[in-house]
Amino acid sequence: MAVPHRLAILVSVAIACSGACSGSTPAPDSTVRIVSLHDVTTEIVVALGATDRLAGVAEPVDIDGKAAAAIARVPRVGDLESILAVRPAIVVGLAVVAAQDPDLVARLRDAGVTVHLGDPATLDDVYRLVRDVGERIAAAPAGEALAAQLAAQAGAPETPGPPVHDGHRTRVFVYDCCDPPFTAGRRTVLNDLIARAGGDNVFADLNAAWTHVSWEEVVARRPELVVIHAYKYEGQGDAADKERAVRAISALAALRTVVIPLGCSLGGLRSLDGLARLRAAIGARA
Amino acid sequence: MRPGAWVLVGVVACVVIGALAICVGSTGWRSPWQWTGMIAELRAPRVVLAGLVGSALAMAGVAMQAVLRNDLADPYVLGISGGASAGAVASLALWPGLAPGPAAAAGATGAVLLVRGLARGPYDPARLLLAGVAVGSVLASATGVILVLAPSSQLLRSTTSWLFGGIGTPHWSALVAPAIAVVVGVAWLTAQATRIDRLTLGADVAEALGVAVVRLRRGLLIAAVALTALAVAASGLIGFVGLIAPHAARRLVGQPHRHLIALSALAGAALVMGADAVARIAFAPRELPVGLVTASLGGPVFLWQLQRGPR
Repeated sequence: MAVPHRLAILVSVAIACSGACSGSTPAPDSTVRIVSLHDVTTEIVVALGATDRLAGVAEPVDIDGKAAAAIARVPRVGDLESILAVRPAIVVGLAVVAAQDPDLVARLRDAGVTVHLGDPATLDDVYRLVRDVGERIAAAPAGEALAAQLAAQAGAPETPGPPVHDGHRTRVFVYDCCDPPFTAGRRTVLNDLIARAGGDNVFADLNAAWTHVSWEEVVARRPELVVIHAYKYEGQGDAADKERAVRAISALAALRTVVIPLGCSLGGLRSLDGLARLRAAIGARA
Repeated sequence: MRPGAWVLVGVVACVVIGALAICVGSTGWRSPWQWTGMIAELRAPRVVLAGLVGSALAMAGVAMQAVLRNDLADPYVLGISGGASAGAVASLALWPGLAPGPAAAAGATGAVLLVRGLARGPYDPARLLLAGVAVGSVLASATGVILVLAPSSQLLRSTTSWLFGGIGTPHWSALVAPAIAVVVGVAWLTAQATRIDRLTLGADVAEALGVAVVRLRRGLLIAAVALTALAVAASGLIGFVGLIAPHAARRLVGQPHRHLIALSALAGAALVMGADAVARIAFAPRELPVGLVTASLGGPVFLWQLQRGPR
């Protein structure tokens, strides 16, 4: 994907410039051994220029190509034993790590390891996560610079067309999978991205993260744009199958769709790519 | 009331519950003659499929209880649920774009064949059940291994909605095969009703009364597995229907299978149609898996049956 690559390059250049040109960004503390248990935090650590301090990473699931190349030689970790074996000072990840294995997090803390798990639900949370990770891995200035860079990029009118048409906000339905459909509620990054792009998530009233709803409800809320939440960042992945499932409902068959890969909705650096895609789709409304 | 009258009541109850299930939904009440896309495309085929799945599971329950001579038997014993789960999860992991139903049906059938093979020799219901527990356990662990190792988080979401049962949103064309299977199932089982009655008296008595016991058992087992596989393929694992519906019918018309089969099928249909309507509206706009609703009813019934013990 071109956009995240551009973003990574921009971020790298920004960090490099802020450090090399002004001399205000000291190099991250090279003694901090870091383990990242989620792709989102792995990408952040790499973007902060701390790849050489990565003592271990969880097996990547859906990671940016540049970050994937950077961590190619970093040991893979997963269970408590493999994490402790690389002697980390800090473990970073997302809250889903604790949800899946709360005992692992408790045992790491018992072993004296600092564990920081973010739980981003908005772009502001993403900026906060970047700053927090930067602070925790002794790269606070780089974290500040990256967060500022992201915020500036999110605000930049880089996409064609206005996000809002004559005061009308586009009604957006997010289709993740399944029958009954699995969709995004209010407490998701996608909900925030849709709002920032000038749309309204038709299930924003649900005080939930991801949940099953009925097709009947989807049709009744008269969406104008369908976000296909695809599970592979590069290429089509499962997007075609999901689009077919949506178009099988006659009331939704003629709607426009936009593919948002999983990596854009998790609350990491690629959220900006998701925002750009949404802005383009909403801005392209006739 | 006479058994035949109870069957008539069952037909009327089924029609009323089906009509109500079509009228209610997460977006409110709609008249059934308001045949818009919402009713014609989203609600009606779903309600009809719910009825067919309920009938299939209920008849499979009657057949399985007759084969195993145990009122606590349900269509998913003999490793069927384990086989169906393993088949569905493997399908979702390997071919995420395909519906998992056919693989689930194949898994269920394969599991029963394996159980029957392991419990070969003189017919012994206890041996069959124990083999079913063992095979089901092994297949459940295989399902767990696939879930743990599969990389895509979508697999977990798809699997969750499938393992707890869900009618989904079928097209009318998808109802033809289940409808034919249910009609054939009712007709064949009803034709065997007298023989099944004799079988419930014991194999020796049944043989003395002229029943080809081995052939009848085989036929009942095939019918139970076919109907269960059909239901699983259409809607995932919907628990307890095959237990509740035959017991509710048995309380009304007694043990004779002539009316028990038809009334069980109607009770199963009414139960799943009603449960699916509850699943759609209870937490609207969110939707519950229908299996959770039937299980919340079936758990207490199962415990009540355990108190009474096997016949």
